[in-house]
Amino acid sequence: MIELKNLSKSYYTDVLETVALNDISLKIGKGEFVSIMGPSGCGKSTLLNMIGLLDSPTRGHVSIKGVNLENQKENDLAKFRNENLGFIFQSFHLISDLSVIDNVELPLLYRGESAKERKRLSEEALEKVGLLNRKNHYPNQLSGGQRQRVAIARAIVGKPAVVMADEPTGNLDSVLGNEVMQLLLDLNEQEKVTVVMVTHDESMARKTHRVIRLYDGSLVN
Amino acid sequence: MIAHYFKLIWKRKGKNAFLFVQLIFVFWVVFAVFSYGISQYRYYASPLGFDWREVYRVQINFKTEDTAATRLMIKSLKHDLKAMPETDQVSYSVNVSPYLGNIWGNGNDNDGFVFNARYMYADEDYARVWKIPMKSGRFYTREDLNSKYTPVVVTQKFVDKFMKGKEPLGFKFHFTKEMETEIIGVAENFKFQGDFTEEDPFLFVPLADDATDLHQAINVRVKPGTGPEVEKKINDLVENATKNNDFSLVKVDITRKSTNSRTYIPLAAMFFLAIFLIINISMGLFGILRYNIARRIPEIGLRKAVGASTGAVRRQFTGEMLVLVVLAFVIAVIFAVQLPFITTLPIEKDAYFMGIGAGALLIFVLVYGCTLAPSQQAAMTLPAKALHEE
Ligand SMILES: Nc1ncnc2c1ncn2[C@@H]1O[C@H](COP(=O)(O)OP(=O)(O)O)[C@@H](O)[C@H]1O
Ligand SMILES: [Mg+2]
Repeated sequence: MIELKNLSKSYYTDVLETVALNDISLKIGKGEFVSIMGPSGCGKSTLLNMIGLLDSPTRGHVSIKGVNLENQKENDLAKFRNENLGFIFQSFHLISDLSVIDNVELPLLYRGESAKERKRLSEEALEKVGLLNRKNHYPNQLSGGQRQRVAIARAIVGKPAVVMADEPTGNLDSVLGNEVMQLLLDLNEQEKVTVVMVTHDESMARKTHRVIRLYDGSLVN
Repeated sequence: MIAHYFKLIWKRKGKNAFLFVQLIFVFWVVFAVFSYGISQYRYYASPLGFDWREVYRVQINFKTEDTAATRLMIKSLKHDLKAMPETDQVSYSVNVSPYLGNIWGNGNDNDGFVFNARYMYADEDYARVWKIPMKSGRFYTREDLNSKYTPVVVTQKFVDKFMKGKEPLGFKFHFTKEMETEIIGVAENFKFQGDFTEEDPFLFVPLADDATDLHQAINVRVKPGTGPEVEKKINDLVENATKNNDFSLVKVDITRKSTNSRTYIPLAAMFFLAIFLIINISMGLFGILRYNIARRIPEIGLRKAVGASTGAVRRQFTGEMLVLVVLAFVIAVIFAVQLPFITTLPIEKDAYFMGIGAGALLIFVLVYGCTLAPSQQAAMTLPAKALHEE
């Protein structure tokens, strides 16, 4: 499903080079639920951004569904993300001036779906995360756990093959965190969606199929 | 997508209110400036129907009674002026003449023929002094004065306005109860009140020799290339003949400039005001946009992550701004179009509506232009960078 080969990423400032990822090779199979762990600053988000095509590697190859993606144009990558990937972030990244349902339908808007279809799919996704009754609320009217569930609905509304989650429970207490984790587990089990999740929490990681550990930009076995 | 832009604008209506109100005012100002500018330009572009270059004008008042001596003096003064080597043509008229600011009007419906026009008394050389092109017929001559009907020349505007479907040449009507006239010529135009005025229908009526009190202006066309020294010569001749200096002499060019300046000075002031406002609003737009974009960087990252192309992000910002401008335009126009029905505008209606169109176009282009660069810059932000959280 996902394959990284000899992938490196450096960030450059005027004076110094920060090596965020160093020669990473890994494969993630279809339907797998993988968690990425490691100390703060070790490159977890960077790795997820590489897999999620949100940033380009300095060296190496990325392919998803057998498509080589490291040299694609930005707009082609956007289209690929739109059709195949869903994203969940630690700080939710909901648009505060849009209602819950308008936030959820965003990927479909860029896919060019009709208003009717967007409404149907968004309501279906909100139903799955148990927030259909809040569809006309605004993000600031929701609790943190509810916001993250809206973000999950947005991530799955386009029925992506892969969902990327960067510390999805990082801003939530354990009860709400577990709710969110359960949603991801259900998604993986019932809909066979591949999930790649960065987490700090060992107990969350234990529930996934496989844990990838990073240290200082490199994989550790 | 427009609904999507609109939702965001509506939700931020409090923050957008100031810009919105400002935009409405800017629309009103550009509507006013453009429609006034267009109407004035159209006046300016319409033909004058005479040539003011190389014409001097003496304004005079022959106070002496209507005696044979006065008549002789008037006649010989014209002769003497004409005899100067610099002179091309000389003509007497009343004080209604290009750029003077005086108007005489007459209306009548004595023969069932209704008209209401400006007119002047002028002698037979008037058309030669002012180089008035004729559309048909000819200007009157001294011989015409012996006929039963007083010969008059009208402008095409007069024909268009009062003689729909009638042949003007040979048409006879009562100019006044006492004066029966016959049209013997049609002049192309006579926009005598100034370059920026609307041309009124006009009649030229012969100036009788015995009407010494109507000999109020001497129009002197000098030959091309004549220097300003001629002014002194004219002055001396007039002074000598009339034995007093109760007259004024000026080159028409100068009167023209001061008459026109009454239009283009306020016009220029309006344009500067409009430009100032436009610069102001452009800077405001830039500022608001940059602030908006800086604040919305994570949103840009998110939109890109879920599949927005560079163009889609750019259009997000230009689109929101255009929706805002269109709304401001709609409100501005709703009020603006009512104006002609509430009061009489100082300009023609079609110029007013053209002004609204042109002004709106300018603002749309301007806003789009101001929005494009910051929006494009925003659209180039890399998603990982925009979403980066510490
Ligand atoms: N946009 C960036 N510019 C410069 N350095 C960055 C950028 N993003 C991340 N880094 C650096 O790369 C390293 C890895 O960062 P990150 O992947 O965010 O770590 P993690 O998610 O594991 O905490 C860190 O040293 C971080 O400072
Ligand atoms: Mg991180």
